[in-house]
Amino acid sequence: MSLVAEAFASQVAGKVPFIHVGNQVVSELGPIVQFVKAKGHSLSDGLDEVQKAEMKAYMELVNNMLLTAELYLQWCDEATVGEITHSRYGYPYPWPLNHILAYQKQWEVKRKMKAIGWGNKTLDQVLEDVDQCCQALSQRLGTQPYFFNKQPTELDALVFGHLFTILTTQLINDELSEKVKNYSNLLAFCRRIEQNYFEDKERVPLRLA
Amino acid sequence: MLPLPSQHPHCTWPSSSNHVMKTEQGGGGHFRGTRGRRGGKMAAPLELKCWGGGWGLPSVHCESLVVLAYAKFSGAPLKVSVIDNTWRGSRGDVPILTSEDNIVSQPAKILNFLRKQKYNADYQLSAKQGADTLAYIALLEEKLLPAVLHTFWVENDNYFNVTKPWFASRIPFPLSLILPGRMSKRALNRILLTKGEPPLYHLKEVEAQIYRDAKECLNLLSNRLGTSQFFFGDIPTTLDAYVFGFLAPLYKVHFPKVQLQEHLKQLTNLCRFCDDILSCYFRLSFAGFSPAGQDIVDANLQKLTQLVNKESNLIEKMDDNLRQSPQLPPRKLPTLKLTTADEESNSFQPLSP
Repeated sequence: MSLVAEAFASQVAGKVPFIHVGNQVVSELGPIVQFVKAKGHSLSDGLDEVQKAEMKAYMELVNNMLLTAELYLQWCDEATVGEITHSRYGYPYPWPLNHILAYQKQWEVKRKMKAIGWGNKTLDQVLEDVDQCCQALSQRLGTQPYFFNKQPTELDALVFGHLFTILTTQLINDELSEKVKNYSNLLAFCRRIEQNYFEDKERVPLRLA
Repeated sequence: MLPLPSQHPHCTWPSSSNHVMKTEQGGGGHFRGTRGRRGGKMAAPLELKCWGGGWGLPSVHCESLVVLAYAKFSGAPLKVSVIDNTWRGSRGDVPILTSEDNIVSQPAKILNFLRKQKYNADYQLSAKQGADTLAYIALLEEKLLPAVLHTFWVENDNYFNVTKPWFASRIPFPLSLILPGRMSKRALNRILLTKGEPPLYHLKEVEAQIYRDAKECLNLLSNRLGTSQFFFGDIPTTLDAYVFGFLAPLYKVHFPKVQLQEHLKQLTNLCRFCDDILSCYFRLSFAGFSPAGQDIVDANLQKLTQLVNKESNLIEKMDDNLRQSPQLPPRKLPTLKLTTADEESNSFQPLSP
């Protein structure tokens, strides 16, 4: 998350990502998808009811497992917290605010983890969950270009967002990205989307060394 | 106390059923028969501690019900003990499976443990169906669970009239004043921490959102189930256990505030799904009320008869009083004798503007 965006978010008291249309601000994936749909563009119109149910279920799986694992790794793994997250989160603020806010955020995240039952999980268990999730996604994708038919849907966007972030963000230990790299069809999927949709705006190339 | 599941009458199921034990032993046969043959090889008895049942269900607690259902589907012989030592319960550790020196606590972990012990309900699923199972379980936990927790523990009418008395009656005295409150706070906490993020600040908005999500989730489940017996064909699997565990308490428990229950009852295939599982796998509970349910009915009946008796006694007393009091001359009620002219004018009156 870019620091400018975080600062903006904390001022507007909304969440990133958001889109700004006229005098409307819509934030978070779900509402943005609804908003765009209301304007007449939708990716999942071609799906039947059962497929829509599956798509929603897989989106929840990604939110449940990948997102929570990312949060865990950022805020509950002591090594990562100390080296990277604290300084990155507190960067825009002067001392002592940077420390206070970082600790507060860490405390909040730990509370949330405990409430959903992840409080006692070790890093290995979290990585195993991520592996299971990736395995499920990989099996669902199979040899198809996208998750449903030949057209990308919201699920493809969500999965791409998470996997790309995991693969390109450098952390202390690379175990998380290693888990994802085990699944070649997921890698090919990310590459394909990057090439088809982002190649004119090359920001961080996908390093697969 | 609930009857132990091992004493349940068997459920006849098609011979290509999911009992791993059957395929290993190489023969068809009754549930009880194969278990007996397997019994000699079994390593250690599996004991499950969970919350008890009511309203025709083997357990009123969602997670306990998931584990019980899965054990039935996979043929795992569980010894169920209804707990009343509930310091574990307040920390969210119920249901707990103990086997020799292994203690396993959350439903996902318990199911994994059972699978490792070769009690697997999913072995006929393809890889893609296994992936679908994970996805749908995530959907249940994200979209349906907050609303179920809210209906049981946070909605004031339901909590004070149904949930709290039920749980308090199963907890020893001093704890019964504290623990239900603690469980309620934990549920509220969970809802707010996972769903109450900006831009939803007010509890009312969070409530509206979670009920919307839950109704959508129920619709999705109903679409997915369609007209088939279970979610993946004719054989119940882990996903069926989870769906049953979450839906059955919502379906069967009688609540004062019932908006989600009403919605569920309109989705007839989901109701049929719950009833089928109850009648087939938990036959004793469904067909003739569980003993706990029967006790409740008897107790209610007793109370009702007592009330009626009291009322009738009161009425008798009033009658006696009336008879003994000094008689007043009967009032003469003015008798209406309409003359023909009056009748005519009376009949025309309604028609006049």
